[in-house]
Amino acid sequence: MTAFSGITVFDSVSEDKLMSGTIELLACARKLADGFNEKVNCILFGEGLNKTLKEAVAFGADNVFVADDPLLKKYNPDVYSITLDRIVRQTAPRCIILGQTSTGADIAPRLAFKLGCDLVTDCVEINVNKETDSIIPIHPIYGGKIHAAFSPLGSQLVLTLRQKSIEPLERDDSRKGEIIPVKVNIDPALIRIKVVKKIKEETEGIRLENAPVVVSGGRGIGSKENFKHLKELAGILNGAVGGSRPATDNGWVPATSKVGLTGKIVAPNVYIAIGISGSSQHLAGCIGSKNIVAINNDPAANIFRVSRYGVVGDWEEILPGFTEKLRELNAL
Amino acid sequence: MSLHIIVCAKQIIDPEGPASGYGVNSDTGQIILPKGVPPAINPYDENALETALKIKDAWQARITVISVGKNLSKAVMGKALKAGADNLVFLQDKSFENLDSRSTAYVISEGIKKLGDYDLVLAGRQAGDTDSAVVPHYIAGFLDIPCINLIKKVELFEKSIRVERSLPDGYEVLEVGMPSLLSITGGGDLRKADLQQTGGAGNKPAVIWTAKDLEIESSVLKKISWEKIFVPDYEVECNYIKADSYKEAGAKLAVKLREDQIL
Repeated sequence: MTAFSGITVFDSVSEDKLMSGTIELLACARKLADGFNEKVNCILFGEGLNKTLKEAVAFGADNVFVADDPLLKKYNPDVYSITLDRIVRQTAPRCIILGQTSTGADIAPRLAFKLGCDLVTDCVEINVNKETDSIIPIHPIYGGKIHAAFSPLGSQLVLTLRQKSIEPLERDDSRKGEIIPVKVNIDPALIRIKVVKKIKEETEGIRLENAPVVVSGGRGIGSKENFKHLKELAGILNGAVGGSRPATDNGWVPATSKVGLTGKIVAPNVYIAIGISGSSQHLAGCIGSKNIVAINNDPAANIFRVSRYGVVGDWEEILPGFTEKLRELNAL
Repeated sequence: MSLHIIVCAKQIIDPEGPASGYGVNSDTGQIILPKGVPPAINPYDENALETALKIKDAWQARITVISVGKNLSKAVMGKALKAGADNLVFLQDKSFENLDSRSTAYVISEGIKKLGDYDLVLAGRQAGDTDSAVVPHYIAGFLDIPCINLIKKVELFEKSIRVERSLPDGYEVLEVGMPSLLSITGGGDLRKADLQQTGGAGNKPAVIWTAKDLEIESSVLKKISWEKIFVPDYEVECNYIKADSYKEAGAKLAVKLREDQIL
């Protein structure tokens, strides 16, 4: 029998509100913990946390360890990893799950290195193998062209879960859980990185990650100027505008609008891909969409293989017809 | 002051190659890689090298590119020298094949220690084959130096570094001392061959250090181990909309999506 027990979830909280990603992590941890008949511990960092803690229980946590401190209001890699390492050692879980976010993906390797345990990042699925008493993470490789299920790893494991890869649990306010405050106590000499300031570059309008409709453009759009046609369509559909790597690399849309493996992961009801060939790196960011609609002049483009609807041809002629008709239908 | 910048670079199969060539051999369970796609420097590591070269444009600096593997190619990795790097170090041994993230980082950190003094270590944000984004953090761990990831801009001062770290809704500015490790995202495509370098450093041989040179016992190294690999199946049947003109096809698409209650 292993000395490690339970599944621990870690995330940070801003403005006393649980993020959708945290709720997904809790759903994943619950599934694994139930497989082993063990507990879910949730570690939350932030400042002024109150109703979040009960929310964490309602979404699946058995214990919530909360480090509520001004030092944790903003992410500092040193402060976060030292504090997290300390709490994890006290709880000795068999698995710690973080989100594949800018914070989670940075802190996970720091934690795994300190703990000296195995680490698998950017998992799209995590399963229990009861026979071997082990956790089997699935991690995409070669930009998502191949998925790899890891052989049984060590008795303690750090994982990061790709966003939007699991359905959250129903909120259940009758669930009972314990809230355990944790003190933050850091030797200033251990802080080697200084966070000076944070610059927000969020574009106006609906957030890409939350939009029910995303209109994305790629290399085929050709210019920043041409993106106005995509913005017009997004406006009609109450959607957001995204871009593939060529579009963001060329500055046609802001870098924060990049959809893909190294950008944002979106899963809208409708994803309209215009002039996007559909590289595996791009699909990694949009494959969870319920309906993909593609407009592309290359009939062999990979994007058509994952699209429910497609038009082969010149977007500059197809799009005005599409937008005009939608406007007409909306006016009915 | 002369800076010594070390850039970690991985030799991988060119990730820009066609997706269709990838598969899994059902008998052996091994990955089938597309035929005829040549190896390349990991594109993210090329961004790191370009970042180093930009520093070298402004400061007195020498750049060492370091790579680990079993069969490293001078023809492939030599591109780094042609672009302006000063030295190429191959950590090459049959026991260095298919290492997991921790062992890879361990070997590289031993190589860096053998190089002696350094001011900065740069690496790409992740490798374009294993896509883990773990090795840079682990190298910093073994060297016990600070690590900051997802850097899009580096500004150097006499004793410290100011960086911009990409965030989903913008970026943050951080400061750290030297030596440090920075993992780079973006930062520009690698410049074309430097003509002076192609005649000089570009022809330099790579320094090769084996496990014996680094005093690494193969028993401490761990290989990546996959229980099962598979090609994900995302394919759906595409409903192609056709009409006499493209404009009509667009209108037809709108009608179809409305009928199907999609939009």
